[in-house]
Amino acid sequence: MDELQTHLLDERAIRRQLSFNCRAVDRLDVDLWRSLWHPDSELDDEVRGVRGAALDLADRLTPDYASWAVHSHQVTSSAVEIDGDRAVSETYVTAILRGHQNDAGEAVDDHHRLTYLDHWSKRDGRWAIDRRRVTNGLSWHQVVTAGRVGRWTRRDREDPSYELFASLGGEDSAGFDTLMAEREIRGQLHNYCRAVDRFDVPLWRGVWHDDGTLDYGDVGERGRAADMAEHMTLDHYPWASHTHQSTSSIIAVRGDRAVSETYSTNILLARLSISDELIDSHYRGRYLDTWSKRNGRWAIDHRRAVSDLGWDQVCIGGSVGLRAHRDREDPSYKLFASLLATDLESA
Amino acid sequence: MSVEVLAAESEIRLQLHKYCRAVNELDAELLISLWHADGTIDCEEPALRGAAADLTGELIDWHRSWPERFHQLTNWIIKVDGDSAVSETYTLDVLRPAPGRKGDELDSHRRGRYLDRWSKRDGRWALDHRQFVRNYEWRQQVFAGSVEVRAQAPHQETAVAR
Repeated sequence: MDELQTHLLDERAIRRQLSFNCRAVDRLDVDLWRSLWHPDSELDDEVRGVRGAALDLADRLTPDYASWAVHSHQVTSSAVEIDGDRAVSETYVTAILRGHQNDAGEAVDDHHRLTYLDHWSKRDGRWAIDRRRVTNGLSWHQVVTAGRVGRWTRRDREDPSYELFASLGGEDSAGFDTLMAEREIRGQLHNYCRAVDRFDVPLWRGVWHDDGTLDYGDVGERGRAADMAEHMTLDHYPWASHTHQSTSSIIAVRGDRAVSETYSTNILLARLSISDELIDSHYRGRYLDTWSKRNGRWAIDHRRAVSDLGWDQVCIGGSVGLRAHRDREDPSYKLFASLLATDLESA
Repeated sequence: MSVEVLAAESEIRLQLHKYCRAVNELDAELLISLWHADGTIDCEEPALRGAAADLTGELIDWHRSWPERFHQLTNWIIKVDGDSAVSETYTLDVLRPAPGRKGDELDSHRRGRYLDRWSKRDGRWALDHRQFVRNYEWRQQVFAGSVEVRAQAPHQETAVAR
Protein backbone atom coordinates (compact mmCIF):
# COMPACT_ATOMS: atom_id res chain seq x y z
CA MET A 1 0.00 0.00 0.00
CA ASP A 2 1.41 3.36 -0.89
CA GLU A 3 2.24 6.11 1.56
CA LEU A 4 -0.75 8.30 0.68
CA GLN A 5 -3.24 5.48 1.25
CA THR A 6 -1.64 4.64 4.59
CA HIS A 7 -1.87 8.28 5.62
CA LEU A 8 -5.57 8.46 4.70
CA LEU A 9 -6.36 5.23 6.54
CA ASP A 10 -4.49 6.50 9.61
CA GLU A 11 -6.49 9.74 9.51
CA ARG A 12 -9.71 7.75 9.23
CA ALA A 13 -8.77 5.62 12.25
CA ILE A 14 -8.08 8.73 14.37
CA ARG A 15 -11.27 10.54 13.31
CA ARG A 16 -13.22 7.39 14.06
CA GLN A 17 -11.80 7.28 17.58
CA LEU A 18 -12.87 10.92 18.04
CA SER A 19 -16.42 9.99 17.06
CA PHE A 20 -16.37 6.89 19.28
CA ASN A 21 -15.43 9.27 22.09
CA CYS A 22 -18.83 10.98 21.74
CA ARG A 23 -20.69 7.68 21.71
CA ALA A 24 -18.72 6.40 24.72
CA VAL A 25 -19.57 9.45 26.83
CA ASP A 26 -23.18 9.85 25.76
CA ARG A 27 -24.01 6.16 26.11
CA LEU A 28 -21.85 5.80 29.27
CA ASP A 29 -20.00 2.96 27.53
CA VAL A 30 -16.96 2.47 29.78
CA ASP A 31 -15.48 -0.32 27.64
CA LEU A 32 -15.68 1.80 24.51
CA TRP A 33 -14.16 4.72 26.40
CA ARG A 34 -11.25 2.52 27.53
CA SER A 35 -10.58 1.55 23.90
CA LEU A 36 -9.72 5.18 23.06
CA TRP A 37 -6.58 5.10 25.22
CA HIS A 38 -3.29 3.29 25.58
CA PRO A 39 -2.56 1.70 28.99
CA ASP A 40 -0.26 4.56 30.06
CA SER A 41 -2.37 7.48 28.72
CA GLU A 42 -2.89 10.73 30.60
CA LEU A 43 -6.01 12.88 30.68
CA ASP A 44 -6.17 16.47 31.87
CA ASP A 45 -9.77 17.70 31.61
CA GLU A 46 -10.30 21.19 32.99
CA VAL A 47 -14.02 21.04 32.21
CA ARG A 48 -14.87 17.90 34.20
CA GLY A 49 -12.10 18.72 36.67
CA VAL A 50 -10.32 15.39 36.31
CA ARG A 51 -6.65 14.73 35.81
CA GLY A 52 -4.64 11.53 35.86
CA ALA A 53 -4.23 8.13 34.26
CA ALA A 54 -7.00 7.86 31.68
CA LEU A 55 -7.83 4.23 32.35
CA ASP A 56 -8.13 4.88 36.08
CA LEU A 57 -10.56 7.69 35.29
CA ALA A 58 -12.73 5.42 33.15
CA ASP A 59 -14.49 4.15 36.25
CA ARG A 60 -15.54 7.71 37.06
CA LEU A 61 -17.32 8.18 33.75
CA THR A 62 -20.66 6.78 34.86
CA PRO A 63 -20.71 8.36 38.37
CA ASP A 64 -19.60 11.75 36.96
CA TYR A 65 -22.47 11.82 34.50
CA ALA A 66 -25.04 10.06 36.70
CA SER A 67 -26.65 13.28 37.88
CA TRP A 68 -27.55 14.28 34.31
CA ALA A 69 -30.56 12.95 32.47
CA VAL A 70 -29.26 13.20 28.90
CA HIS A 71 -26.31 14.77 27.09
CA SER A 72 -25.01 15.20 23.58
CA HIS A 73 -21.31 15.58 22.74
CA GLN A 74 -20.62 16.33 19.09
CA VAL A 75 -17.32 16.63 17.20
CA THR A 76 -17.33 19.41 14.62
CA SER A 77 -14.12 20.42 12.86
CA SER A 78 -10.75 18.96 13.66
CA ALA A 79 -7.18 19.06 12.47
CA VAL A 80 -5.34 15.74 12.40
CA GLU A 81 -1.63 15.83 11.61
CA ILE A 82 0.23 12.54 11.30
CA ASP A 83 3.92 11.74 11.32
CA GLY A 84 4.55 8.00 10.99
CA ASP A 85 3.19 6.22 14.04
CA ARG A 86 2.53 9.46 15.91
CA ALA A 87 -0.09 12.13 15.45
CA VAL A 88 -1.56 15.22 17.05
CA SER A 89 -5.08 16.51 16.71
CA GLU A 90 -7.10 19.54 17.69
CA THR A 91 -10.83 18.89 17.85
CA TYR A 92 -13.70 21.29 18.46
CA VAL A 93 -16.65 19.84 20.33
CA THR A 94 -20.10 21.03 21.35
CA ALA A 95 -21.67 19.58 24.49
CA ILE A 96 -25.10 20.02 26.06
CA LEU A 97 -25.97 18.41 29.38
CA ARG A 98 -29.52 18.34 30.70
CA GLY A 99 -30.92 17.33 34.07
CA HIS A 100 -29.89 19.92 36.65
CA GLN A 101 -31.87 22.79 38.10
CA ASN A 102 -30.92 26.20 39.46
CA ASP A 103 -31.76 27.48 42.93
CA ALA A 104 -35.07 28.81 41.66
CA GLY A 105 -36.03 25.21 40.85
CA GLU A 106 -35.93 25.79 37.10
CA ALA A 107 -34.55 23.13 34.74
CA VAL A 108 -31.25 24.31 33.29
CA ASP A 109 -29.12 23.06 30.38
CA ASP A 110 -25.32 23.37 30.46
CA HIS A 111 -23.72 24.26 27.14
CA HIS A 112 -20.01 23.96 26.35
CA ARG A 113 -17.72 24.64 23.44
CA LEU A 114 -14.64 22.50 24.08
CA THR A 115 -11.27 21.80 22.53
CA TYR A 116 -9.59 18.40 22.74
CA LEU A 117 -5.83 18.59 22.22
CA ASP A 118 -4.61 15.05 21.68
CA HIS A 119 -1.33 13.25 21.19
CA TRP A 120 -1.77 9.89 19.48
CA SER A 121 0.36 6.86 18.76
CA LYS A 122 -0.18 3.71 16.78
CA ARG A 123 0.82 0.63 18.70
CA ASP A 124 0.30 -2.90 17.36
CA GLY A 125 -1.76 -1.41 14.55
CA ARG A 126 -4.12 0.49 16.86
CA TRP A 127 -4.37 4.29 17.06
CA ALA A 128 -5.14 5.51 20.56
CA ILE A 129 -4.62 8.63 22.64
CA ASP A 130 -1.39 9.09 24.61
CA ARG A 131 -2.26 12.44 26.19
CA ARG A 132 -5.40 14.55 26.08
CA ARG A 133 -5.95 18.05 27.34
CA VAL A 134 -9.53 19.33 27.35
CA THR A 135 -10.00 23.11 27.48
CA ASN A 136 -13.21 25.07 27.76
CA GLY A 137 -13.59 27.54 24.91
CA LEU A 138 -16.85 29.09 26.00
CA SER A 139 -19.76 27.93 28.09
CA TRP A 140 -23.14 29.06 29.36
CA HIS A 141 -26.26 27.70 30.98
CA GLN A 142 -29.83 28.48 30.14
CA VAL A 143 -33.23 27.82 31.67
CA VAL A 144 -35.27 25.34 29.66
CA THR A 145 -39.00 25.91 29.67
CA ALA A 146 -40.17 23.87 26.69
CA GLY A 147 -37.71 20.95 26.86
CA ARG A 148 -38.00 17.64 25.07
CA VAL A 149 -36.18 14.32 25.56
CA GLY A 150 -36.36 11.68 22.83
CA ARG A 151 -38.32 8.48 23.23
CA TRP A 152 -35.58 6.12 22.04
CA THR A 153 -32.35 7.62 23.32
CA ARG A 154 -30.63 5.69 26.10
CA ARG A 155 -27.45 5.99 28.12
CA ASP A 156 -26.53 2.32 27.91
CA ARG A 157 -26.21 -0.46 25.36
CA GLU A 158 -29.97 -0.59 24.97
CA ASP A 159 -29.60 2.51 22.80
CA PRO A 160 -30.73 1.55 19.26
CA SER A 161 -27.30 2.42 17.80
CA TYR A 162 -25.87 -0.83 19.23
CA GLU A 163 -28.47 -2.99 17.55
CA LEU A 164 -27.92 -1.12 14.29
CA PHE A 165 -24.17 -1.79 14.25
CA ALA A 166 -24.68 -5.43 15.29
CA SER A 167 -27.05 -5.84 12.33
CA LEU A 168 -24.15 -5.53 9.90
CA GLY A 169 -23.32 -9.09 10.95
CA GLY A 170 -19.57 -9.44 11.42
CA GLU A 171 -16.49 -7.27 11.11
CA ASP A 172 -16.63 -4.09 9.11
CA SER A 173 -13.78 -3.51 6.68
CA ALA A 174 -11.03 -0.93 6.95
CA GLY A 175 -9.30 -1.03 3.56
CA PHE A 176 -9.05 1.56 0.82
CA ASP A 177 -12.49 0.61 -0.56
CA THR A 178 -13.92 1.57 2.83
CA LEU A 179 -12.47 5.07 2.49
CA MET A 180 -14.24 5.47 -0.82
CA ALA A 181 -17.53 4.13 0.55
CA GLU A 182 -17.35 6.34 3.62
CA ARG A 183 -16.60 9.38 1.51
CA GLU A 184 -19.71 8.79 -0.59
CA ILE A 185 -21.87 8.07 2.45
CA ARG A 186 -20.63 11.20 4.22
CA GLY A 187 -21.36 13.14 1.04
CA GLN A 188 -24.95 11.89 1.19
CA LEU A 189 -25.21 12.83 4.88
CA HIS A 190 -24.20 16.37 3.96
CA ASN A 191 -26.46 16.38 0.88
CA TYR A 192 -29.37 15.70 3.22
CA CYS A 193 -28.64 18.84 5.27
CA ARG A 194 -28.16 20.92 2.18
CA ALA A 195 -31.34 19.55 0.62
CA VAL A 196 -33.51 20.46 3.62
CA ASP A 197 -31.96 23.89 4.08
CA ARG A 198 -32.12 24.81 0.38
CA PHE A 199 -35.52 23.16 -0.26
CA ASP A 200 -33.88 20.96 -2.89
CA VAL A 201 -36.47 18.19 -3.29
CA PRO A 202 -34.60 16.07 -5.91
CA LEU A 203 -31.39 16.20 -3.85
CA TRP A 204 -33.33 15.14 -0.73
CA ARG A 205 -35.00 12.27 -2.59
CA GLY A 206 -31.61 11.12 -3.93
CA VAL A 207 -30.28 10.47 -0.43
CA TRP A 208 -32.55 7.37 -0.30
CA HIS A 209 -32.98 4.48 -2.68
CA ASP A 210 -36.32 4.53 -4.44
CA ASP A 211 -37.77 2.01 -1.96
CA GLY A 212 -35.93 3.52 1.02
CA THR A 213 -37.87 4.31 4.19
CA LEU A 214 -37.65 6.55 7.22
CA ASP A 215 -38.94 6.55 10.76
CA TYR A 216 -38.80 9.93 12.51
CA GLY A 217 -40.91 8.64 15.38
CA ASP A 218 -40.38 11.65 17.65
CA VAL A 219 -42.02 13.95 15.12
CA GLY A 220 -44.53 11.41 13.83
CA GLU A 221 -43.07 10.93 10.34
CA ARG A 222 -42.83 7.41 8.96
CA GLY A 223 -42.97 5.93 5.48
CA ARG A 224 -41.35 5.67 2.06
CA ALA A 225 -38.94 8.57 1.69
CA ALA A 226 -39.65 9.16 -2.01
CA ASP A 227 -43.29 9.88 -1.15
CA MET A 228 -42.36 12.38 1.57
CA ALA A 229 -39.68 14.48 -0.13
CA GLU A 230 -41.85 17.57 -0.68
CA HIS A 231 -43.28 17.91 2.77
CA MET A 232 -40.08 16.89 4.61
CA THR A 233 -38.32 19.83 2.94
CA LEU A 234 -40.96 22.47 2.21
CA ASP A 235 -42.70 22.11 5.59
CA HIS A 236 -39.81 24.13 7.05
CA TYR A 237 -41.23 27.17 5.28
CA PRO A 238 -42.89 28.76 8.36
CA TRP A 239 -39.45 29.30 9.94
CA ALA A 240 -37.45 32.31 8.81
CA SER A 241 -34.29 30.22 8.44
CA HIS A 242 -32.86 26.87 9.50
CA THR A 243 -29.67 24.86 9.55
CA HIS A 244 -29.29 21.10 9.72
CA GLN A 245 -25.72 20.30 10.75
CA SER A 246 -24.19 16.84 10.75
CA THR A 247 -21.33 16.41 13.16
CA SER A 248 -19.73 13.19 14.46
CA SER A 249 -20.45 10.19 12.31
CA ILE A 250 -19.45 6.57 12.72
CA ILE A 251 -19.76 4.51 9.55
CA ALA A 252 -19.22 0.75 9.27
CA VAL A 253 -18.97 -0.79 5.81
CA ARG A 254 -19.19 -4.43 4.80
CA GLY A 255 -19.10 -4.98 1.05
CA ASP A 256 -22.06 -3.23 -0.53
CA ARG A 257 -23.80 -2.64 2.79
CA ALA A 258 -23.15 -0.13 5.52
CA VAL A 259 -24.60 1.32 8.70
CA SER A 260 -23.96 4.72 10.22
CA GLU A 261 -24.70 6.79 13.28
CA THR A 262 -24.56 10.55 12.70
CA TYR A 263 -25.04 13.25 15.31
CA SER A 264 -27.03 16.30 14.29
CA THR A 265 -27.56 19.85 15.50
CA ASN A 266 -30.71 21.18 13.87
CA ILE A 267 -32.02 24.67 14.55
CA LEU A 268 -35.16 26.26 13.17
CA LEU A 269 -35.24 30.01 13.66
CA ALA A 270 -38.22 32.30 14.27
CA ARG A 271 -41.61 30.79 13.64
CA LEU A 272 -44.59 32.92 14.61
CA SER A 273 -46.50 31.19 17.40
CA ILE A 274 -50.20 31.35 18.16
CA SER A 275 -49.45 33.88 20.91
CA ASP A 276 -47.63 36.16 18.43
CA GLU A 277 -44.15 35.30 19.69
CA LEU A 278 -41.27 34.29 17.46
CA ILE A 279 -40.08 30.85 18.58
CA ASP A 280 -36.82 29.03 17.77
CA SER A 281 -36.75 25.22 17.92
CA HIS A 282 -33.54 23.39 18.79
CA TYR A 283 -32.92 19.70 18.18
CA ARG A 284 -29.98 17.46 19.04
CA GLY A 285 -30.19 13.89 17.92
CA ARG A 286 -28.77 11.11 15.80
CA TYR A 287 -29.59 9.59 12.45
CA LEU A 288 -29.27 5.79 12.47
CA ASP A 289 -28.99 4.68 8.86
CA THR A 290 -28.68 1.47 6.89
CA TRP A 291 -27.13 1.90 3.46
CA SER A 292 -26.60 -0.17 0.37
CA LYS A 293 -24.70 0.37 -2.84
CA ARG A 294 -26.84 -0.41 -5.86
CA ASN A 295 -25.68 0.22 -9.42
CA GLY A 296 -22.63 2.01 -8.04
CA ARG A 297 -24.61 4.43 -5.86
CA TRP A 298 -24.68 4.52 -2.07
CA ALA A 299 -28.07 5.55 -0.67
CA ILE A 300 -30.20 4.92 2.40
CA ASP A 301 -32.36 1.82 2.76
CA HIS A 302 -33.76 2.95 6.11
CA ARG A 303 -33.24 5.93 8.39
CA ARG A 304 -34.32 6.11 11.99
CA ALA A 305 -34.00 9.51 13.64
CA VAL A 306 -33.33 9.29 17.36
CA SER A 307 -33.95 12.54 19.17
CA ASP A 308 -31.68 13.07 22.18
CA LEU A 309 -32.89 16.41 23.48
CA GLY A 310 -34.53 19.56 22.27
CA TRP A 311 -36.22 22.74 23.37
CA ASP A 312 -38.01 25.83 22.16
CA GLN A 313 -36.97 29.35 23.07
CA VAL A 314 -38.28 32.81 22.33
CA CYS A 315 -36.26 34.37 19.51
CA ILE A 316 -34.40 37.47 20.67
CA GLY A 317 -32.55 39.68 18.23
CA GLY A 318 -33.13 37.31 15.34
CA SER A 319 -31.96 38.28 11.87
CA VAL A 320 -31.39 36.44 8.62
CA GLY A 321 -28.81 36.96 5.90
CA LEU A 322 -29.51 38.67 2.59
CA ARG A 323 -27.60 36.27 0.36
CA ALA A 324 -28.94 32.91 1.51
CA HIS A 325 -31.92 31.50 -0.39
CA ARG A 326 -34.07 28.45 0.09
CA ASP A 327 -34.02 27.66 -3.62
CA ARG A 328 -31.56 27.40 -6.49
CA GLU A 329 -30.89 31.13 -6.35
CA ASP A 330 -28.67 30.37 -3.38
CA PRO A 331 -25.09 31.25 -4.39
CA SER A 332 -23.88 27.71 -3.57
CA TYR A 333 -25.47 26.41 -6.78
CA LYS A 334 -23.46 28.79 -8.93
CA LEU A 335 -20.31 27.82 -7.05
CA PHE A 336 -20.74 24.08 -7.61
CA ALA A 337 -21.79 24.56 -11.24
CA SER A 338 -18.60 26.54 -11.89
CA LEU A 339 -16.32 23.55 -11.38
CA LEU A 340 -15.73 21.38 -14.40
CA ALA A 341 -17.84 18.38 -13.56
CA THR A 342 -15.69 15.31 -13.20
CA ASP A 343 -16.58 14.89 -9.56
CA LEU A 344 -20.24 15.78 -9.50
CA GLU A 345 -21.67 12.28 -9.63
CA SER A 346 -22.87 12.48 -6.04
CA ALA A 347 -24.32 15.98 -6.35
CA MET B 1 -11.97 8.62 -8.44
CA SER B 2 -8.50 8.30 -7.07
CA VAL B 3 -6.48 8.46 -3.92
CA GLU B 4 -5.33 11.94 -5.00
CA VAL B 5 -8.89 13.28 -4.72
CA LEU B 6 -9.20 11.88 -1.20
CA ALA B 7 -5.87 13.44 -0.29
CA ALA B 8 -6.98 16.80 -1.72
CA GLU B 9 -10.19 16.66 0.32
CA SER B 10 -8.20 15.85 3.44
CA GLU B 11 -5.87 18.83 2.88
CA ILE B 12 -8.76 21.20 2.21
CA ARG B 13 -10.53 20.03 5.35
CA LEU B 14 -7.40 20.76 7.34
CA GLN B 15 -7.22 24.27 5.87
CA LEU B 16 -10.90 24.83 6.75
CA HIS B 17 -10.22 23.90 10.35
CA LYS B 18 -7.15 26.15 10.49
CA TYR B 19 -9.38 29.09 9.64
CA CYS B 20 -11.37 28.37 12.83
CA ARG B 21 -8.18 28.18 14.86
CA ALA B 22 -6.91 31.42 13.32
CA VAL B 23 -9.98 33.46 14.28
CA ASN B 24 -10.47 31.73 17.65
CA GLU B 25 -6.86 32.43 18.63
CA LEU B 26 -6.49 35.71 16.67
CA ASP B 27 -3.57 34.29 14.70
CA ALA B 28 -3.16 36.73 11.78
CA GLU B 29 -0.20 34.86 10.30
CA LEU B 30 -2.13 31.59 10.14
CA LEU B 31 -5.17 33.39 8.73
CA ILE B 32 -3.31 34.98 5.83
CA SER B 33 -1.63 31.66 5.00
CA LEU B 34 -4.99 30.15 4.05
CA TRP B 35 -5.26 32.30 0.92
CA HIS B 36 -3.04 32.43 -2.10
CA ALA B 37 -1.22 35.75 -2.44
CA ASP B 38 -3.86 37.02 -4.93
CA GLY B 39 -6.81 35.49 -3.03
CA THR B 40 -9.99 37.48 -2.38
CA ILE B 41 -12.82 37.74 0.17
CA ASP B 42 -16.47 38.68 -0.14
CA CYS B 43 -17.90 38.55 3.36
CA GLU B 44 -21.49 39.47 4.28
CA GLU B 45 -20.62 40.13 7.93
CA PRO B 46 -18.35 41.77 8.79
CA ALA B 47 -18.90 43.47 5.42
CA LEU B 48 -15.55 43.02 3.68
CA ARG B 49 -14.78 42.73 0.01
CA GLY B 50 -11.42 42.73 -1.72
CA ALA B 51 -7.94 41.30 -1.55
CA ALA B 52 -7.51 38.89 1.37
CA ALA B 53 -4.03 40.24 2.05
CA ASP B 54 -5.52 43.70 2.69
CA LEU B 55 -8.44 42.49 4.81
CA THR B 56 -7.17 39.83 7.18
CA GLY B 57 -6.17 42.54 9.68
CA GLU B 58 -9.74 43.84 9.75
CA LEU B 59 -11.05 40.30 10.08
CA ILE B 60 -8.81 39.68 13.11
CA ASP B 61 -9.81 43.05 14.65
CA TRP B 62 -13.49 42.24 14.19
CA HIS B 63 -13.06 38.92 16.01
CA ARG B 64 -10.96 40.61 18.70
CA SER B 65 -13.94 42.88 19.43
CA TRP B 66 -15.66 39.77 20.87
CA PRO B 67 -13.50 38.88 23.90
CA GLU B 68 -14.78 35.31 23.86
CA ARG B 69 -15.54 33.54 20.62
CA PHE B 70 -15.83 29.98 19.38
CA HIS B 71 -16.00 29.27 15.68
CA GLN B 72 -16.69 25.74 14.41
CA LEU B 73 -17.44 24.11 11.07
CA THR B 74 -19.65 21.22 9.95
CA ASN B 75 -21.11 19.74 6.72
CA TRP B 76 -18.16 20.21 4.39
CA ILE B 77 -19.06 19.40 0.78
CA ILE B 78 -15.84 19.48 -1.25
CA LYS B 79 -15.65 18.92 -5.01
CA VAL B 80 -12.22 18.46 -6.56
CA ASP B 81 -11.29 18.69 -10.22
CA GLY B 82 -7.55 18.29 -10.75
CA ASP B 83 -5.85 21.26 -9.14
CA SER B 84 -9.11 23.17 -8.59
CA ALA B 85 -11.81 22.65 -6.01
CA VAL B 86 -14.93 24.26 -4.59
CA SER B 87 -16.46 23.71 -1.17
CA GLU B 88 -19.41 24.65 0.96
CA THR B 89 -19.05 24.52 4.76
CA TYR B 90 -21.51 25.42 7.51
CA THR B 91 -20.38 27.58 10.41
CA LEU B 92 -21.46 27.30 14.05
CA ASP B 93 -20.42 30.37 16.07
CA VAL B 94 -20.90 31.84 19.50
CA LEU B 95 -19.59 35.36 20.11
CA ARG B 96 -19.53 36.85 23.59
CA PRO B 97 -19.26 40.62 24.07
CA ALA B 98 -17.19 42.39 26.69
CA PRO B 99 -19.07 42.74 29.99
CA GLY B 100 -20.64 46.17 30.33
CA ARG B 101 -21.89 48.09 33.35
CA LYS B 102 -25.54 47.07 33.06
CA GLY B 103 -24.92 43.34 32.86
CA ASP B 104 -27.50 43.03 30.11
CA GLU B 105 -25.12 41.91 27.36
CA LEU B 106 -26.25 39.29 24.91
CA ASP B 107 -24.27 36.43 23.38
CA SER B 108 -24.53 36.29 19.61
CA HIS B 109 -25.24 32.87 18.10
CA ARG B 110 -24.68 32.61 14.38
CA ARG B 111 -24.94 30.20 11.50
CA GLY B 112 -23.71 30.75 7.98
CA ARG B 113 -21.79 29.15 5.15
CA TYR B 114 -18.44 29.56 3.47
CA LEU B 115 -18.53 29.17 -0.30
CA ASP B 116 -14.92 28.66 -1.30
CA ARG B 117 -12.85 28.34 -4.44
CA TRP B 118 -9.52 26.55 -3.98
CA SER B 119 -6.51 25.83 -6.12
CA LYS B 120 -3.37 23.83 -5.62
CA ARG B 121 -0.25 25.77 -6.53
CA ASP B 122 3.27 24.49 -5.86
CA GLY B 123 1.79 21.56 -3.94
CA ARG B 124 -0.30 23.73 -1.57
CA TRP B 125 -4.11 23.94 -1.47
CA ALA B 126 -5.20 27.47 -0.57
CA LEU B 127 -8.14 29.79 -1.14
CA ASP B 128 -8.61 31.73 -4.37
CA HIS B 129 -11.88 33.23 -3.16
CA ARG B 130 -14.06 32.95 -0.09
CA GLN B 131 -17.66 34.14 -0.01
CA PHE B 132 -19.39 34.18 3.38
CA VAL B 133 -23.17 33.85 3.35
CA ARG B 134 -25.06 34.54 6.58
CA ASN B 135 -27.94 32.25 7.40
CA TYR B 136 -29.11 33.71 10.68
CA GLU B 137 -28.27 35.10 14.08
CA TRP B 138 -30.03 35.22 17.43
CA ARG B 139 -29.03 36.77 20.75
CA GLN B 140 -29.41 35.46 24.25
CA GLN B 141 -28.49 36.61 27.69
CA VAL B 142 -25.03 35.69 28.95
CA PHE B 143 -25.13 33.14 31.73
CA ALA B 144 -21.46 32.25 31.70
CA GLY B 145 -20.28 28.87 32.94
CA SER B 146 -22.14 25.89 34.32
CA VAL B 147 -25.12 26.21 36.62
CA GLU B 148 -23.86 26.26 40.22
CA VAL B 149 -26.70 24.36 41.86
CA ARG B 150 -26.29 20.65 41.34
CA ALA B 151 -29.83 19.54 42.18
CA GLN B 152 -31.45 17.27 39.66
CA ALA B 153 -34.26 18.70 37.62
CA PRO B 154 -37.63 17.09 38.38
CA HIS B 155 -38.17 15.88 34.80
CA GLN B 156 -35.14 13.61 35.02
CA GLU B 157 -36.99 10.48 36.15
CA THR B 158 -39.35 10.47 33.20
CA ALA B 159 -36.44 11.22 30.92
CA VAL B 160 -34.41 8.28 32.17
CA ALA B 161 -37.38 5.94 32.12
CA ARG B 162 -37.96 6.39 28.40
